[in-house]
Amino acid sequence: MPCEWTLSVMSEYPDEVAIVRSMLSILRTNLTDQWQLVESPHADLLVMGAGAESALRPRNTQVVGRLLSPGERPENAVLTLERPVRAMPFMEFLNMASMRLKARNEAASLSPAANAKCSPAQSLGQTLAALRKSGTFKRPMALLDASGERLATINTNRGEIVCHRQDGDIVHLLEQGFEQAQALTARDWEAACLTAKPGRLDRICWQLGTRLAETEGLGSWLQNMAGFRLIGWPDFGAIGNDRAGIKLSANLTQRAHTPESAAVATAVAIEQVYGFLNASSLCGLLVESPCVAAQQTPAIRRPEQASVISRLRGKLGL
Amino acid sequence: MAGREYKVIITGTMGAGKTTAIRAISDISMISTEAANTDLLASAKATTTVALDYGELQLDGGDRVRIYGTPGQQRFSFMWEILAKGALGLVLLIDNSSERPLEDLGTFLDAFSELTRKAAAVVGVTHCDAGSGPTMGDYYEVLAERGLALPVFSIDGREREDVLLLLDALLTSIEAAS
Repeated sequence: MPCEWTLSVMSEYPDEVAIVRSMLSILRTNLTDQWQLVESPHADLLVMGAGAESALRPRNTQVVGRLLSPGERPENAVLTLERPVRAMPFMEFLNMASMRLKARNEAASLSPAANAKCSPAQSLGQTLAALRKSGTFKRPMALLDASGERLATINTNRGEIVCHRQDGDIVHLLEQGFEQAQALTARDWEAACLTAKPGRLDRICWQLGTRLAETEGLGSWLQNMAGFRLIGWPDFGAIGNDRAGIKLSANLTQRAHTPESAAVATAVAIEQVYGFLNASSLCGLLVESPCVAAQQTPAIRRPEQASVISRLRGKLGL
Repeated sequence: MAGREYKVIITGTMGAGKTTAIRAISDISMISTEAANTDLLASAKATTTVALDYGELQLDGGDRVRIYGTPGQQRFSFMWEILAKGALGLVLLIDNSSERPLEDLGTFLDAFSELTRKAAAVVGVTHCDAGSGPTMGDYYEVLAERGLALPVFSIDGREREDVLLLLDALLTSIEAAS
């Protein structure tokens, strides 16, 4: 399953960004993963020309590539791309970047103790988010505590979780942290299901995400994102009816928002928006998406339709 | 003086719970058009809808929302386009324990594409606890293949609260799209 990465190009030549955008479209089926060009410099892959290098300070979590002009030599740069940018070298460049990003995510995600400054809940969120991105999340995974005992086994293909501990609420146990995520086989999953009946994974993720917001706000793995969009609705039939969640889902599936703009658009408190974003991300439904500036022409309003919807709500008690 | 009329369509696979869903919310005694089910391979139900189920929600000022439940079999598909014209929204119910629920979902999404493209549709998946069958992720993929991100909820069609959940999501989607 291809991963989704973001790419930012900081170039002293404005046309170069347009060329990259065009090539991404052409090369889409030849790339090992999916790439989205974003304006924010906080993308997964930051590609810089010499002019931009002095102005930017890449984050430790980013992979950095250098654009080399003719005659220019790379200094300590591992990933380089010669100008003018051409299709085949660009394709190889991106595929190599994919490998580096996956390796980096896998190393970080399987060692939640490395995020020692985070609370267990944040660390758990970061780990689950990184695992989803890396693609290894598609295999059944065992979540082990510090003593190596299995807390839970999860299967994202089936959207299910088997809880192995009977001495407490699984959400509370997971919030205390887990030491390791161990990839399993399909047979391991079948064996786990014999020990206890699988439950819905999204229910657990939803509780984890909303409870995290109560104490710590927006998950740390979401804080550097420019905007968000939902690629699917949470299953409120399984999670439980959530009026605020329904309003946020309706808006975020139709356009990208920042947490603040989502709060304004839906009249939902910002703390609830954070919980919704955390939970949707843990359920694999949230993607980063730049917000488009509001159009100048007014939206077409249909007062009659708005009126009947309002009256229908009143009639049904919604 | 006759008030204004609106229309909501409830459609989906045979045995998914369309008739039951209308009965759960209609203000009037539901008019049902059922006959003995002769297609026991498709569903073990004793009876099935052979024309339209009909219910109403009566609003103030004499306005009303007509609720039409379509029959689930493909041979009645000629009426789907007729019914969809001018409809406020669509509730699509899929029986997760049926033979080909994902194919059925695709069929209905394509048949009612005008409503689904306007985000005026919601999907309810019934009989999810029957054991085997597609996962919710599989339903998301069918929608994503068509560029859709509609609400998809696992529900019990016999529960009024679950039917109301679908309607709430439908109305909220329509509001957000306008």
